[in-house]
Amino acid sequence: MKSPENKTLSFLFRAIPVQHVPDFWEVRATVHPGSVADTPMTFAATDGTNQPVKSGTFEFMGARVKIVDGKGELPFGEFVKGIHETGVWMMRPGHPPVPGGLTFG
Amino acid sequence: MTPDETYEAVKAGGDAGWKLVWENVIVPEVKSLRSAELARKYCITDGDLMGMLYEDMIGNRKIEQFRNDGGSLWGWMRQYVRGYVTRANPNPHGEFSLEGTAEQNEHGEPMAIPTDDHGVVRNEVWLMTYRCFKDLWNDDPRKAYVLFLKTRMHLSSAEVAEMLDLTEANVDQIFSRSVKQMRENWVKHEKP
Repeated sequence: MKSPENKTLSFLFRAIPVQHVPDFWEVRATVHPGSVADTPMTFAATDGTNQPVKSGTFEFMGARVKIVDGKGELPFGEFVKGIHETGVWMMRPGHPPVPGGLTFG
Repeated sequence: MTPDETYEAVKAGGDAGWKLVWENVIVPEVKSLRSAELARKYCITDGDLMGMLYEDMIGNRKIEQFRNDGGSLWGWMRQYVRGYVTRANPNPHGEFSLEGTAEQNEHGEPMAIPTDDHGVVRNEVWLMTYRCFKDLWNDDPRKAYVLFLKTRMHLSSAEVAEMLDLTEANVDQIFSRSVKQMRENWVKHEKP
């Protein structure tokens, strides 16, 4: 398990359409060049007003990524392990849990 | 006719194979919502498309690039036909001159400003891609990841295989299925 040596890969996950703008979220997950199982992937989470998510948990394909000030980390191996899972949720205090998915962006 | 026999018949360039191409590629594509409108707009006939496809496949030997590994030959050829229709746009950047709009028709009336917004068309295609990709993700996330890594991140099958602990053949198989499913999703969403 190893990502390409010379490429940074990024995946954009986005909430399903929601009624209230602040409940919306967007997470960009980045796999750094030459990542192996224990290399951390980095996450940048923003809300519907394009502000960093202050605190929350990004439940991501069976793993839980703690988000603090819009940032989080997860070992690359955990990501690959959960590649069959569709479940992607953002849980934030004061907001309902909102599911989402991978986009083509 | 088995898929292999069909492929060989088309590759041979004879009437038997190309009659099937007409029935399974040209006619359905020309009738599809998107291509029908564009073909009419750019004055391309089904005969023109058949000619272009034949020249590309047989004349330029593009047919040899079809991998024939279980994917749909008709779907693959339809991509070419769609390309001919899209590229037939004489003004691909959506530019128009103010002078041109002031011209008059044979009745002396000012000619209409073009009303088709190419930006909107591009946006619709992009939204459609999102919808189809969402369906693919909901069905099997692994297919969505493989499609994304190969088409959006431009990774080779070997790179995807190493990254996701799969074999290269497995990646190709998943990719082929995901492309097929995207096409099916597209048709599903295109239906009114």
